[in-house]
Amino acid sequence: MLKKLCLLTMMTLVSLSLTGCWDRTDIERYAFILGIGIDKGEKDGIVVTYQIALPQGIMAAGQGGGGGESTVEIKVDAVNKKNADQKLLSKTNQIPNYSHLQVIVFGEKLSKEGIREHLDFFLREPEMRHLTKVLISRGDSEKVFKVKPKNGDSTSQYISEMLEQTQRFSLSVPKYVDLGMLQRKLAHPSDLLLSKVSKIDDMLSVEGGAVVKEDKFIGWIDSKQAIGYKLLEDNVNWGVIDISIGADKKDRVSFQIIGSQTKVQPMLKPKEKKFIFSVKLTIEGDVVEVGQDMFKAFDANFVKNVEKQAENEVENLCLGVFEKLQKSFKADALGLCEVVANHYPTFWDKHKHEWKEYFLRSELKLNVDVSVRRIGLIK
Amino acid sequence: MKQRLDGISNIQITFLISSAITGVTVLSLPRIASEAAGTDGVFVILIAGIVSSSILVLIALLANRFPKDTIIEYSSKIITPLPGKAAGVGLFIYLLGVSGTVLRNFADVIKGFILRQTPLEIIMILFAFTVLYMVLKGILTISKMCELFEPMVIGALGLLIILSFKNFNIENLYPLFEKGVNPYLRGTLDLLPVFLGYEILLFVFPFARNKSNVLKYSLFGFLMPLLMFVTLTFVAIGVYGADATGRSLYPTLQLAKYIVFPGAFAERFDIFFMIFWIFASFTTMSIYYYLASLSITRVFGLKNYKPFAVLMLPFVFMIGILPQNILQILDFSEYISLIGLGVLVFSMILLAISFILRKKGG
Repeated sequence: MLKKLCLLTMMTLVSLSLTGCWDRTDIERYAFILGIGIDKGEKDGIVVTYQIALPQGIMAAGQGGGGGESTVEIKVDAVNKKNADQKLLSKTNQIPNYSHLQVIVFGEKLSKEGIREHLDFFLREPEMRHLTKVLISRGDSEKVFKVKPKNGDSTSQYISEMLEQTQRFSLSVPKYVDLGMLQRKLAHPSDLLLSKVSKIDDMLSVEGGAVVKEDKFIGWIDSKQAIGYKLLEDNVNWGVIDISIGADKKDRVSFQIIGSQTKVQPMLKPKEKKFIFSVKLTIEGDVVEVGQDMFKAFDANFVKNVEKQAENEVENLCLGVFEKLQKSFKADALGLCEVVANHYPTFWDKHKHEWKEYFLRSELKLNVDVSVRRIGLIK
Repeated sequence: MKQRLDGISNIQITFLISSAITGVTVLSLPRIASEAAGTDGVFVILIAGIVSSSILVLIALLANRFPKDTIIEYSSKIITPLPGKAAGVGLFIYLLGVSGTVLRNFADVIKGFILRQTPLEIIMILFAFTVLYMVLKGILTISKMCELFEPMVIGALGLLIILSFKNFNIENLYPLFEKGVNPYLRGTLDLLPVFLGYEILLFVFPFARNKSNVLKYSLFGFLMPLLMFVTLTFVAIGVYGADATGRSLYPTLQLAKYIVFPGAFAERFDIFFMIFWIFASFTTMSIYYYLASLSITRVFGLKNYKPFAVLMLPFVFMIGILPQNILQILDFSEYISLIGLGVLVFSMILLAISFILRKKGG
């Protein structure tokens, strides 16, 4: 009898504890924030644009139903990021959740005044993943989120995927910077290059890059300079450079890089107080398009000529971006200071604060070696 | 005919030592290493591990002289009963302190990352009760549990390390050997407490089934965390650089946040990793809590540790609730690990005296 009573009590207790979802929050109650745009507001304030996923809309788009919007944008004026979160709460019936955040876009005006203070929240917040990409937009970031991609993806996902895919195949899109990378970079004040996003007509473009000096945005680099940047940074996967050959430089040839390796070796010149960076670029690739006479490519002279012109072109591109960064921006966005710190640790410890002067006097010595491997299917 | 085997088997000794070492500190380990020695942290942690393993050998030597006793009994035999008992009380306080800090560190991370709206006390009470339940089952059950959990913990850590190599950048590991010998010496001293956990051998030795093999298998058990700790530090510094690793509260968790799982079926690797980290904290606390109750029982010369295990619960809870904020938690953990180093020194002294006086037991 006692045993049965025990059993009965146990069963009751167990059944009570099994209804353990008393404090669960349904997934619909969460506002999954996909993208955040931060712009300059009035006085010292900021304007934060949240792009929030609407699961119903995304599902409808997936089933080809179309119609419903997949995201909603909410704009909030605030003094800082967390303050904006608080204000967002009063504008929506959902709880903000950051675990799917794809992109953080800083507006041009705001980033000119510094982005470091606005990044603090994202690195401090436990909910945040470190794969979120950080960009600077041409003009206000608010405009960027107004562009709705035609394939039904949200703007944030679209930008994020664009950066991931295109930077592997295009030379004019530099490698993106995510929060994990920023965590590393922000350990000490350093210059860096963030991705750039701009609205052109009804489309978004991630060509080029934004140079950030210490923590202030100071200017753009264009798509050609981005090629040089990628080559120097050793981040090239695939990509095409255009070269012209022939006596009058009229024949255009497209050279596709399929493999590239960059080695940077700094050399200290203590007397002149500068560094000489010898850069060795080893590039291999294919000829993918030949203008004018299509049957001339199967020829040793032609191949040699292409290699030579490609070497020249690569050299120009690299020097172009280096000069732009050194002369007009005075920003070491290539991270040459890290190379120096690795090769000359004792020098670095002593002269860390003088690095900028050394950098401004420094030179780049290029040694480019291009090999053409294939010429495609036409002989 | 089936023979009933008593005592902890060889492989269980391995996993017992291993789980005592891999505890809550796994989360902050790369920070401690890079704070202590910057980019040289990888080597310093290796040196600290080698030093620790030699201490482990000495401890096994000491325990081997008294194969039937725990340190509580043979300290009385070596340095006369009264100081011996006093030392026993000291050991008890250390073990209790470790249980308390593990409890608090665990609860704090869980509250910060997963159960953000649950009161800290609730997390602590639930965890402490689970540990108590485990401890009441005895050391044999605890060792079986370690045998079950520890391979999973090591596996999850290994997976974290392998997947992190995607973001790895070898340049972050330079410069090496630039600052001379001093940081190495200091850093080694700073990192010794990281490997604490093998001192449980002072207590569990008499429970081992096959006493002649204990040293070999406990060294195996030490090797696993050593390998994991060194590679974890290596990867963390390789991904984030020494400066940022030193500035991050839980760099291991940060590594997990930076992982893209192949196929992306699990978007959040950090949550996946936390599950196994809970296992690690659970086994660590169970071991220390059990040993604390065991040592106080033996100090009083009693047999049954269970009443003490129950009575200790509020005290462990009080120790855990004592620190007011994260800064105090870190300070408190540091004090406790200093006592841990004291325990090591004390056992070395015991070994020396027992050698000189030729005292041997059992």
